Amino acid sequence: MTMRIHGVVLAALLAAASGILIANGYWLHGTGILFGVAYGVIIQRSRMCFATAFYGNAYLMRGILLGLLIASVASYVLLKTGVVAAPHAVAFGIHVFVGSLIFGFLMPFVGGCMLGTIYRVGTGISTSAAALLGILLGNLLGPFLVWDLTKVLAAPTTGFVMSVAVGLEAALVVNLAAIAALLYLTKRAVPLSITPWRIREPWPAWAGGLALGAVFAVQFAVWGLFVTQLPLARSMLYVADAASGMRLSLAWSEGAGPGASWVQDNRLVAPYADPLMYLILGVLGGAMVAALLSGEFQWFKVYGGWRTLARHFAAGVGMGIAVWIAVGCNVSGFYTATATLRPEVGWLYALGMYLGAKLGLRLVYKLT
Amino acid sequence: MKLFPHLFFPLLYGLFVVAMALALVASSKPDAVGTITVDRLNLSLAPGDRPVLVFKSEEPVNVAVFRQRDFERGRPPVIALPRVLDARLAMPTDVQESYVVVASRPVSVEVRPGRVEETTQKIRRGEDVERAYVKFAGDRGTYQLIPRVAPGVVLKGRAEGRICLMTEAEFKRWRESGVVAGECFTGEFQKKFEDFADVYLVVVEPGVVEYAVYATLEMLLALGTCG
Repeated sequence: MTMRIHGVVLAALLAAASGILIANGYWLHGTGILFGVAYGVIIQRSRMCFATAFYGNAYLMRGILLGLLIASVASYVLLKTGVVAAPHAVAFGIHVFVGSLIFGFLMPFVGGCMLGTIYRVGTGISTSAAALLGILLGNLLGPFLVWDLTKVLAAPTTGFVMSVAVGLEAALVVNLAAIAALLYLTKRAVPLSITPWRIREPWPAWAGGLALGAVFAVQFAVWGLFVTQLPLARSMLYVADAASGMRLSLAWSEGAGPGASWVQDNRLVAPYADPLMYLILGVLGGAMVAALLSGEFQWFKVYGGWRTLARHFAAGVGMGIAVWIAVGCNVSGFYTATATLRPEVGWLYALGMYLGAKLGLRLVYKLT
Repeated sequence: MKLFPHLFFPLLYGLFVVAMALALVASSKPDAVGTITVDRLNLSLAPGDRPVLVFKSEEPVNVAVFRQRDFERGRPPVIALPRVLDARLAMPTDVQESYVVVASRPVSVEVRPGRVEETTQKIRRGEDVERAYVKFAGDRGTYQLIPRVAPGVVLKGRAEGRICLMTEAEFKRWRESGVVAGECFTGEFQKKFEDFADVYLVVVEPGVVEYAVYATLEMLLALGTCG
């Protein structure tokens, strides 16, 4: 009962924050919370972890593919009719494969993908909280350590956009073909079946996937892109700048100092002023509300001791750095890129993440 | 063993989000607009700010925008606009930044608050967003380094007399020898830029000149690297 009261109060606070922002003219920030809450509820209720799907869970993979199918077709219509002018502006190149390979390799050590980590933190799981703290630190180190290398790796193919080079239709066809092929593979692994959707029970993957795709389509039409790493990195650099007494700002404006090229390319935004930050806060808050209302919140009980937490934290740091090689995590690098008809980026990310996850799992089994 | 005070974490999280929202509301009002008449203005910007400075003057006035530290060290301004009648300058910043705006005589200045993110959203929706607009009384030989030029940016304008758009090399040659080069226009003109190279607008025959620099979707795709 206490848990449900917490859930209701938290939902009310998130609604209040959204209302305050919208009422004061910050439409993008206020609605960002609402879209985030929708994502958070969906991924928590349907356990939408891309890592689990890429390890071989055919049900979850099918759910993700159904969502991608909806989002791809919706994006095609939105881009074709001019409602939205551009797909995800992320660079295509070998860096995507390298970064996603490392990201996938670290997933078994972190205990999930980015989305999975967020919903598990929202469910009150301590190892995921340690991993998220590590990811935050990685998002500070990544811009400092690897961004210049990423730009070098991306340089030969930067500017290549399949939908521009060969048309939106071709990009959609590539997506549909890849989704159909993967659906066929999941059908071979597990026969097709439709589990009934009961709102009070954990949602079946197909329902979560469809809901994810539908929310994504609406958000893409009226709000923008679903990305997670950018606001995290911006926030971390902002905090580092504040901690340095704005000395970093001074150096960055001269094009000097660690992370200067990242700041030049990605801009620094104060966390409280970044609409994407409100989106991420909404995702975490939505997952927390869903976990509290369903009585699943774990209150961050620590199982396995501090060594386990330290391992998750360290893997999280690596993951946070890897996303700035791939220029995206499984959300922006794979899902958003694929869904907004950048198949050349999205499916390359998926391949790297899949191969990395296989390698990572093998090592985890050996170590345990 | 618990990492957080278990009874309060969800509530503290909710309060944290509300506090963030209140911090944003308290930091600036999006609709707040003030007009002042000054010959010097200090402007402090937070990361992600994109205010627009609007200048109006009955008489031609020289306007220069310095970074604070450049101003203190006697370095050249980042934007110098001679003989301005009307101007709108977007001032986007990625970092904490302070500017000093200096005019050769008191001029009406309006600061329209804005955010980089809001502009990015507009561009993503396919709108071209004005980065700079300048209307000036062009005497023969008046020149301006066109502000806010970047790959994918479009320049549109109109000249009563005749103007020439010159590259850095052409501009230097003109300054040294008076040889007019570059692309010259009378009446309406338009040009799209492909890189960050400096471009000068030089008045060859006198008359009022006005031009605007627009950010386009192409600029966003050319510069956007991020997920």
